[in-house]
Amino acid sequence: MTSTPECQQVMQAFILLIDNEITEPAMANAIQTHFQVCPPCEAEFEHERHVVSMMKNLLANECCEEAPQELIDRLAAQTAFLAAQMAADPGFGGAAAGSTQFITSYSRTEITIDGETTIEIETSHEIRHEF
Amino acid sequence: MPMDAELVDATSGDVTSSNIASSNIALRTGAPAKRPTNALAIAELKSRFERDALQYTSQLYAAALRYTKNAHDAQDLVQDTYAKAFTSFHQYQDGTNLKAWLYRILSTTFINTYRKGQRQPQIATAELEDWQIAAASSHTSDQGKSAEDEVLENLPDGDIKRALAAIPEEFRMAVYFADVEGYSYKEIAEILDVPAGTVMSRLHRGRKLLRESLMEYAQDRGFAKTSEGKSEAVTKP
Repeated sequence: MTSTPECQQVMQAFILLIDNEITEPAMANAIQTHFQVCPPCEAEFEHERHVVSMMKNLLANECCEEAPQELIDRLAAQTAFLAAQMAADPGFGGAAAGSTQFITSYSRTEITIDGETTIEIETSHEIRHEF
Repeated sequence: MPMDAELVDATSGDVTSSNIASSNIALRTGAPAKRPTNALAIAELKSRFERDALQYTSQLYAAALRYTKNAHDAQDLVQDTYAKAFTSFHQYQDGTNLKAWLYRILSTTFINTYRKGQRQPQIATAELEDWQIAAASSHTSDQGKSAEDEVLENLPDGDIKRALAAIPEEFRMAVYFADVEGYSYKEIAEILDVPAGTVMSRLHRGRKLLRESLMEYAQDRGFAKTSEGKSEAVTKP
């Protein structure tokens, strides 16, 4: 099927139309006008939109892993640790401009068989970060 | 509540509060807000963090899995992200998009920490001109369209996840943030720290690569390509 230079221009804008990213009404109008005189372009667009919509559904169904309990426990321990560190040392992390440095601790919560919870700090490493 | 007033004050900085459109998910602020020092303010910050930020743990974990492709590194990445988020949480502007702010930290952390030492793929410069050529194509045949629809409608579980993991990171994450999280180009641009035009280009390429992979998987299972390169269903011999 032949496509004109105008078809090519319209097809370049398909992605913007699909993603609702067209901000100029003139552009949206030009595309609609072209569709009226060029059914193949309109069919192409409908197909593109349908494919993107199907892929979105497929991706949403498969890329939605739940955080493991281990991670949730680690984050709870880390938040408590960082808050305690912040309270103990007002200069923690450094609030001044420029390069700052703080320690991130990797911690793991271990639950013993009798239900008691112990928190063990496994390792720690430094992260340098600019604010 | 007096504690709120103190925290609001502490977070004011010189960044005006508004919606995400004005770049305030950025980690950099003109004047760093002061970190709370008294025990009550810290306790308040901690409970606000636990309530507002930690609720996105699963979403961050899913995004981290797209980056790292394995559960162990994804957990570490999420943990590092939340460590950084906690220590700069006093700078987070209330009312802005907290999840996008966390994604921005996640993305930066991945690039700075996990990809450290690796050469960052240099695709940014040429990709914008390229995409226009790539986007322009001729009309596809009706058979090609219906074959693609059929493949997508009957896609086995796991195919799209595998295909997404297999495409280059830049394209993969643009597709993830647009098509799973539903972010606009502008929001993705801020999360990934690239221009919006680059987001569009990566998204276009990413979706194209994803579709090609899915058609290839299907072809391996008994779909054949025609001479035109369009796929259509055939009966397996």
